[in-house]
Amino acid sequence: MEIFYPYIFMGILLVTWLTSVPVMVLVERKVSGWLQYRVGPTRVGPWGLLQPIADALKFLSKEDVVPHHVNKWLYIFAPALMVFPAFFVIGVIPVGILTLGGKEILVQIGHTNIGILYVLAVSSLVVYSITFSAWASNNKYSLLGGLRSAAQMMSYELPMGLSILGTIMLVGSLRLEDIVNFQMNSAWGIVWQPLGALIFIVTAFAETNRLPFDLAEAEAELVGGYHTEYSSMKFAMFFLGEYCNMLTASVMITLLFLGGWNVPFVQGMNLEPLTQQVIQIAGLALKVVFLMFFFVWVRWTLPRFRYDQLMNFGWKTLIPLALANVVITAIVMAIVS
Amino acid sequence: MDSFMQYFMINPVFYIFAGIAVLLAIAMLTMDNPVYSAIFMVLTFFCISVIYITLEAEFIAAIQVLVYTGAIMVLFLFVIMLLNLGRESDLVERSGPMKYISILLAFGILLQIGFAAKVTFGIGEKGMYPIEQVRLVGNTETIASLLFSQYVYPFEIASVLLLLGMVGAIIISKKKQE
Repeated sequence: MEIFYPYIFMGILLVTWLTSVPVMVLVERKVSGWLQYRVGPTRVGPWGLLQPIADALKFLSKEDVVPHHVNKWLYIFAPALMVFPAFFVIGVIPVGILTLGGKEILVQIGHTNIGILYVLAVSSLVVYSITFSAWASNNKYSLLGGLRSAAQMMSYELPMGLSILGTIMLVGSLRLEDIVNFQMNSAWGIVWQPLGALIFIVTAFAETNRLPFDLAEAEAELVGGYHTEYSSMKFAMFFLGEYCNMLTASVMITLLFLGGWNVPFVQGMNLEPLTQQVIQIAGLALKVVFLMFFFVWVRWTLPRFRYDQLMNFGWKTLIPLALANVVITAIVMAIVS
Repeated sequence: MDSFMQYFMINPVFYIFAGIAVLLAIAMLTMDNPVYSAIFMVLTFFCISVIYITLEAEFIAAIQVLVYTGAIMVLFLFVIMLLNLGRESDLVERSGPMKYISILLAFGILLQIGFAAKVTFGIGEKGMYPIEQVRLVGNTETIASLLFSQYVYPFEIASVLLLLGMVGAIIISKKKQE
């Protein structure tokens, strides 16, 4: 039985990631509405709950145009490439512990000792989808959007990697489950590494191309950026990838800095192990939902960066801060030990 | 053929991905369009990182994808896309007999490398860090402790060299602006 667990977890996690997309589309539209004193979608189903289904039907029934001036193979390949890393990255993400058949089992598909490096490596592949779609579209706006976005993602990968380094030094392991256990036994990562957490959250916004970092799309100046020439389901694939990446980013923020599946006081309540563990997984889900809401909240709070501001912020503010964070963490660790 | 099947059964993942990597590398060399060549190079790197994983070198595999696939090849693509390369047909080199001579020479060199590899790499005595010990300590930990103890000078010299390259690039790009 035990050898089937990874496959069962794989199924459950894939379904979770996929179903989160329509839910997130609805949340995005509803919360956007509330933040602008509107009601958001209300017509399809009660309180507009069936809106995502209507959206999906709209995408599926639209004509799938392949313009004649595009590089056909890459044009078709690029949207698929957006979804591939989004699902590939789930492979090492742990979401909790369950006691099954008298044994404690980590809910994770593959166990590897490079955990977080795997996540960083795979999510860095998203940049190819954007570059290829931009180049294959054979359109000025697409190419400009794609180049901007690729430069942005590469610039923000550096502070992202550096911001995690402090946590890794404290824990002494790259495994995500070790990082969560460390937080369980002491305090949440955000207490240990407030600056690291802040930098990681900012770079997570940049890596997922969300506002205030959505220069890749920038409707006002670039029409639609890299997806200007895309229509129908190919266009929807980019959003599928974006929302999946947002979910992954939220889960990563939770695991690294918000205690993972750690729920305060639940360990002192003397519950059945399984009940306690289910509560912990629900706690993780709740934190992730809050972060997803936070993504939408920030979207309507902060204006978009200008391109030079974005680059200056990345290279001249975030990277020095992240480096300082690593040095300070190292010095404090050396003094304390 | 029997012996090949034996090897294949021991480590099928390695042989499958090594085969794919070789095919992709050939595709990379034979493509007329440099953008396609770059794409095949990316895929080759990806296959090589899978081979690293079958060798239980997960850290190197992750770094391979993170640095080569995720960063360096993107820059390559940038340069290729931004240089105005003109028509695809202009890029194809047509240089008569030289082509066939170079193919012959390339095969000669390949045979030589293969022969050298066959002579040199046998199964010898185990080194200081056999797989059992690496498994015990952990892949990343082994590399880290070696880098910061035994190989600390080469490591630091390499990082200074990279820094020099970076400073040089900045100076060259600043000069053009003036």
